[in-house]
Amino acid sequence: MPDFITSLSVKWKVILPVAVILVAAFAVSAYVLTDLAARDLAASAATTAETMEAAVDSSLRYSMAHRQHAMVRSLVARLALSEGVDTVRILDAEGKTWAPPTGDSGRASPQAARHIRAAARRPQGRERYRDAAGTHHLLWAVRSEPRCAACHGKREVLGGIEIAVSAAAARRRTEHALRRMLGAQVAAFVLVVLAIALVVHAAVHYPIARLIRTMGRVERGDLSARARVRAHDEIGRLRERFNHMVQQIAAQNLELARAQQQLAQSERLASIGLLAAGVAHEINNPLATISMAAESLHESAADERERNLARAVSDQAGRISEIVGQLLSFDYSRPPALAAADVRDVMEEALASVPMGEVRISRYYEPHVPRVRMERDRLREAFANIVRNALDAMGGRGELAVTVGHCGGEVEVSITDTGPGIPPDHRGRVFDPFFTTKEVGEGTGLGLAIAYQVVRMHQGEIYVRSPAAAPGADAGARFVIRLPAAGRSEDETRA
Amino acid sequence: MKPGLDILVVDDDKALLEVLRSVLEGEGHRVEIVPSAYEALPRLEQARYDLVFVDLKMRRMDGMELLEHECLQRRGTRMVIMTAYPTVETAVHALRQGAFDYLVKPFKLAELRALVERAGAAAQEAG
Repeated sequence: MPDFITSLSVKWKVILPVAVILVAAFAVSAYVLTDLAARDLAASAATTAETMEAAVDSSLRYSMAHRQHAMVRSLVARLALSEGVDTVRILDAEGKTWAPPTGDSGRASPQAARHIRAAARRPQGRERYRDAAGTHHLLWAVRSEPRCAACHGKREVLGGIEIAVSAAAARRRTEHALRRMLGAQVAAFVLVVLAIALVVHAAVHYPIARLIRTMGRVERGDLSARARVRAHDEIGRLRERFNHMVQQIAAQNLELARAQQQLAQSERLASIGLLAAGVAHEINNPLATISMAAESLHESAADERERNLARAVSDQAGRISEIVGQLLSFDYSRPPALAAADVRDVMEEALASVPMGEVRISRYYEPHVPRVRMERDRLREAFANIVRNALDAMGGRGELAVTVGHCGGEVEVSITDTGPGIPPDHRGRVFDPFFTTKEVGEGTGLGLAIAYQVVRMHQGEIYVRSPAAAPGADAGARFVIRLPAAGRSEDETRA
Repeated sequence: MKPGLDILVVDDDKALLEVLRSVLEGEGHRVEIVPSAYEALPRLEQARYDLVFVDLKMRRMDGMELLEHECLQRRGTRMVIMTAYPTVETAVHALRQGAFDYLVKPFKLAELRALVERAGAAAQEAG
């Protein structure tokens, strides 16, 4: 298809063919109507002429019989004034004009005489011809009757009645009708094209243009842009689908951003783990010497002061060792050894490994929970770290609610405390390594980061919720962990 | 008073060697120290030790190679693998290869004592 057609807007693609079709239809109808009008005019002129001829003929015979020539002459004069009639004449056999009386009456016209003879020869006694000016003439032969013989002798044809229908007048009328018709057609054409343009603009062009504008906004990154759906036609459906698409893109973007954030966090933790694996040897070796020497000194100390100093060295060496050990748990460079197990059992082990003090524990376990493929020791440690964090937050008293359930293909674990909750500006950082609100020496800030890394390495999700607290009330924090359930073959639920 | 054991310590960390010697000698054992597996090998072939501490990660020849050495396997030398970077795999591997025990650095004096005591009992049993 040529470029200029493909680059036309839909509006013009509709209007142009319609306009062409309309022009063609109007042209054909104009032609047909003009032709019909012309024929009609001719027919009516002929009828008028016939009627006039009949009137003139009978009047002529009557006038002749009663010698009242003035009557027929006045009739002829009056008829000649009729619209569309050029001339009405009564001729004698030589072509001389007998009525109306004119300047050249009396002069014989051989041409007229010839037409009279030709008319007489025809069965209907009428001759039709056009003169040089294009005027149509109808000429009837006036035949003799027995009563005419008294004056006209034995002549068969006494003369003729000629009526000339004005071509100019007929043409004028035809052209007038044609002009009016053309005017009406042009007006109709303009109206129809305008109406179609208006309808196409309102129903097609405008909604599409708006949709294109909305698409432009989405293209520029505004995923909150939505097309307004008013009609439920094709364009309405198009807008609906577009909205749905944008919504999906927005949702996927959100998911992607979250995944990227989690990936970045995992990678950060993994790189810490990798670093730890690299330096563990370099740190633990001197640490072994320090701790061994300190313990030895502690035993052989001469007095209490020396003993305390030696113990301080030994304890701090132990702390360093603990931190290195925790950092090593970020290292997932080797693939985890997974085996399917029941999350409820692992949670119980984790709860048992943490001293609870005065904290009450409420368990809400679903009776049937799919098993999860896991590295059991690590997951237990992750749960224990979250529980420890909750207990620290509650300051040793309160209630810890633990739930294990499942939804879709995931096992969901939640650990909720009745502590002070997590301020909004801390919520994004609680899983960061070394982020801690505890006093120096009380926490390494690695427990939740380890939990995060362990859950992520199990293809799971972990997040924290802390509702806005009413003034004076503790908001509490709720950690939610989602882990993918094991496949069907391993998914033996237990009551 | 139980008689002391003959103990060899193999580690490329000289400070640790000295401290271990000092601690173990303080417990009444006879302790020899060498800074590499290469130097340990001839001594192990010549003399008989009740207990050998070997660091897992050393240059040129590591503790695991020494453990797997055919000659020592035949003689049933009790070897303890020490490591500063413990993994489940190395621990399992060491014990499968006949290691007497697996010691994670840094370790407590009590752990060391318990281990040496166990080795002493095993040595007495073996005659």
